[in-house]
Amino acid sequence: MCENQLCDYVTNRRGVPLFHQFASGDESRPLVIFCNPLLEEALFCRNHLTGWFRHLANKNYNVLIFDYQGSGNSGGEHPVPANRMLEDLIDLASRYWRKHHAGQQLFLIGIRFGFNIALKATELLHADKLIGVEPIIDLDRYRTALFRTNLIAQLSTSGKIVTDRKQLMAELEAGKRISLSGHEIDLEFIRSLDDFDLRNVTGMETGRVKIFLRAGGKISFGKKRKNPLRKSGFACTSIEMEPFWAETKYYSPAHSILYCQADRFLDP
Amino acid sequence: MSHTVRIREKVLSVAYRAQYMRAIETTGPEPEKPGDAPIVIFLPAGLKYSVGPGRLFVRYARKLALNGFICYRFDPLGIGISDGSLEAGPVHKAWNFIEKGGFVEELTFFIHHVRKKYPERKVVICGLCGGAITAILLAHRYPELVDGVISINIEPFFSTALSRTTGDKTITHINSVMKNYTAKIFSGTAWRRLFSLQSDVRGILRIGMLFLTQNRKRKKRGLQEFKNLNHPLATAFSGMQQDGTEHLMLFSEHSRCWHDFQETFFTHLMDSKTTAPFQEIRVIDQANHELQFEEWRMKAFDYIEKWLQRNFST
Repeated sequence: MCENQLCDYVTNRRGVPLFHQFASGDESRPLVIFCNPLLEEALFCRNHLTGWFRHLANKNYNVLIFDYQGSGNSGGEHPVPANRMLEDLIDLASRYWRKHHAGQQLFLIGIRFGFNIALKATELLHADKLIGVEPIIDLDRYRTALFRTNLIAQLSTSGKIVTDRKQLMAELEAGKRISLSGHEIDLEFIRSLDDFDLRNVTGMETGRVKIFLRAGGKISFGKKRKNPLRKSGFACTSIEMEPFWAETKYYSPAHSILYCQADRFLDP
Repeated sequence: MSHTVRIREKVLSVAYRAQYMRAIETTGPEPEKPGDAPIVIFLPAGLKYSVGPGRLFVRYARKLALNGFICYRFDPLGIGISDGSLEAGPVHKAWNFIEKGGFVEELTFFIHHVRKKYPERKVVICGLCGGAITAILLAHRYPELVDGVISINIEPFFSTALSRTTGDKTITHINSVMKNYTAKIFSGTAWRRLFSLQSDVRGILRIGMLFLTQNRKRKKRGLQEFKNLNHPLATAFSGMQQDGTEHLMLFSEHSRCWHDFQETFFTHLMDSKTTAPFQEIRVIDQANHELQFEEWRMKAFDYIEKWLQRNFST
């Protein structure tokens, strides 16, 4: 149980209520903000992130976790483009950080695409530290995986692909929405992902960023010269953890190795 | 988007065993009007918290709230926005915990809390898959607390480490898989996948064997012959009807749950009838387990809305 926890709605600049949980810790301690992944990954993540949230709150950090507009328990019917998620992140950070905890450090933790968003926010907010968990380094592969959820739904029901990737893209371009695991997304959403390509990362102070990759996962560090993680110079560590942003065969609500390593980076 | 302006959502925290269970309360423009439409409580779908797969229940709650319903998306301890955590272990063990009624007592406590707040309103619980099981088990254990249940894709069997023990594969499931294999018989890609061992060859052979050798024998099976059937669920399922609790069952045509249900509860407990006193079955054509496409979601909502109007309109 986490004492001093506020669990409520706050209205963003577009007038949409955003669901958020805030644990107020020691005033001298930094503010940590979690940045969720997108679509169904955010749903799989929730039980785990609530656990990590409590773990940090119990260490007296000030911790904030929120749902993007059109995601989780927040207002809005459909997922919004990623740049609006970034706007909301900056807006919330300003409210909880500068106003109430002026002079304190700001840490961000981004899971999957949440890291891509948090990285931009780090530049804009001059955040002190950033942790990424299995970030999206290959946007094309990520988009392919997103579209695959639609194709699998078609296959499982019709036994064949009725609308292939090109046709799905054409539907988006015609102004329609398509379903990705039940989330109805539009062209603006898909296009907005490009603005968060890690290949465009420049000028980051590398010591401020730590990335955790899943040992044996799809992302490898250092094998390819073009790998943006290699180019970025960010510290990357492979650790044993379940891919808690997806359906797993083993349910693990707390990822002690991840928490422990993250603790060491945040508070050496 | 326009309707969200008229929707109000707030967090309800309920203390339970020194922790907080939380739910999102969704209300429309006039929630306090007495004697109105019932309270609808949405449950997590297995380990996916109460927003539902693809935020299904967020949409349903908001739509119902516009018509005067008070809706809750409830997370038991260890799920979603609530405190606590479930035990670590193989995921099917976590599912088994739910299938055995692991969330029933927490939900019961929550319903008591809500009933005190709105004593004049009836209570309907809605769940998908694991949520549907929780709803049925609770409705039979505490019939005085629940006036109706909406179950989406009830799974009659306990989850296992494998997709299913061979002995429990139902004939409708085998036929359905065989139909899919047959559809691919002229597909070069499918044959290439098979010969390059990319396909689940053992699974295909097993289904083929079951189809060829045991088809006739399997048709005669009674409920007791299924090794892994959730018998407490079967008892609660029948008991709900005797208790007089209204029950709408929604199934997706392509969910394995529908195949399993047909050969078990539907045949043995419902005499293969889609409507009976207090019971109604609706099947959503083409839909998959989590109702991922918009037309399936809207079709399901249409059934829910009409059923609520028929049975709970004031």
